[in-house]
Amino acid sequence: MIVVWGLLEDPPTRTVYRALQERAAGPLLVDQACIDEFEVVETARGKVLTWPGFRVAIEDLTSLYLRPYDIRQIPGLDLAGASGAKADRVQETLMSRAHDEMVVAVNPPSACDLNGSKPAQLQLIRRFAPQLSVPRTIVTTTPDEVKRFVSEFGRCIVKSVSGHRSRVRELRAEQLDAEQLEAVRSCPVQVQEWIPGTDFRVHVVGDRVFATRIDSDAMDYRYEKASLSAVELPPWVAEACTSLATRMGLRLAGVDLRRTEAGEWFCFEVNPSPAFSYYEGRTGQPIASAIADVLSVGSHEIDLPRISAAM
Amino acid sequence: MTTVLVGSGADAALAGAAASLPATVVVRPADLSRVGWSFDPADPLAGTFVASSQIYDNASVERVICTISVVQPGELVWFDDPDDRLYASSEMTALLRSWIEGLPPGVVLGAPNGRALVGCSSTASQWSEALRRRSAIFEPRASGPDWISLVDNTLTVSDDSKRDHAEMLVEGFDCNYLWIELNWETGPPRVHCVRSRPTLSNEREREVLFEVVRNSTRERVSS
Repeated sequence: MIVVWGLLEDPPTRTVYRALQERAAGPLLVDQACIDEFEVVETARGKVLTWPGFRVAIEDLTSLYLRPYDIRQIPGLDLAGASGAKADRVQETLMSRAHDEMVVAVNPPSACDLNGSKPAQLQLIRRFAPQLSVPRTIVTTTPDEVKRFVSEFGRCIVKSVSGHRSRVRELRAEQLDAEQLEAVRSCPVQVQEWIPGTDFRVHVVGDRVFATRIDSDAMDYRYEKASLSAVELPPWVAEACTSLATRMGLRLAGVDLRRTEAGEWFCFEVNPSPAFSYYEGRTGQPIASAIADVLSVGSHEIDLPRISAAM
Repeated sequence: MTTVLVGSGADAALAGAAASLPATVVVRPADLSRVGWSFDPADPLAGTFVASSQIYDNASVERVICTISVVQPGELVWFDDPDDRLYASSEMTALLRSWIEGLPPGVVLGAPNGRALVGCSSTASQWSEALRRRSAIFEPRASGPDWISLVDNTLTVSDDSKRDHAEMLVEGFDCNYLWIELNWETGPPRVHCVRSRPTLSNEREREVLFEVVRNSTRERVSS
């Protein structure tokens, strides 16, 4: 059985759920907005997930799309006391199931780990996709190091070192001020050379590749006006992206690329939980359907037994 | 060459530990708020790090013993705003994670295979299942009368007559650091705790760990 675990109001989760609903084997939705309706109970034959009127053995959950949020940040849920512990147990059980190598998880949690450190991920990109270039990068707490780096490259960007969502900001040698530099002393910053060119977001789903070209004048197109169009990548670039996702253990990946005027392709990062629905909605690429295909491999339809009074 | 202990500022055992090992320095969260870190993902060993308020070359690191999973926001008391503490803790953890990732294989004890700075990403139920497959029973408790230590490839056992059993128990785990407390007494071994992250506050564990580190340092010096 396929499980979709996340918030139904979150567009990627909703889009995958709908794509799966169109198939014969409908998915089980564990909507975190009503996580308090679910419970994991121990039985003689192992753990069972129950919700009003139904139950399913955990070992029957063979495929899992997961995009969970912190349930304590979800408005309207009362998770004080026992109901919180019950919800935590459901979450832990699903996460543990997603770790199981026998389960088709999109994505396996262990494959997402290095997303928490962008420079650590850059090291992997260099190792797994040497055909792609990566921008020169420095992570530092040293103001003089920032000055030296920015002077060397002229135009740079500064962005978070961690997976913490932050707006990419421009850094130019002539604009560096003492206050900016002073802040470097107390917290590490990541500075990268600015790569001029055209952005591409590539979604790799299994062995399928969906590339989107983004035309925008913005430093960070996610927050500005941008024009998106579906495109074909040169075969070697597409192959580098699939190789990268495969070697990172990802069944779904959002790869951020930029092509320079000279035709060099740079890779900035690989997102293991991409908001692909934004791109699908603007280009019509069937990304959610491809994710549903991946989840459907190996899953089998089961009849959900109703809970008997004896349980 | 330097041994680097990475730990919490609140860990009183760190200073004593540093004093009992040769050429050892300590990285605490406060050191991540000091001038001197420089890390280039394209050339990780070319940079520098800060330990005990001093700047060292990454290339000088011979051994890393990390005792924290993340930099805790609560330790960053020099940031007034709680949001700043949270952000800085993520950034510092991410820098440490990439610094660890950039060191040569075998340098970090308990090299991470998960999001944390150290150790395996296995959940309690995964440990339980793995131990069951090795004919052991997982009965979580704070400690046990017997222990097994795996540091790099060095296996040490509290009861040497159980060495063969111990080898079978740790075989196949994707970790270069394991501390297992158990009870061999009767029947299948009953495992009470498994750790893939070194803990200096446990005296038995610390002594075994340091002995292996001292020996490996001696071997390198004499060769």
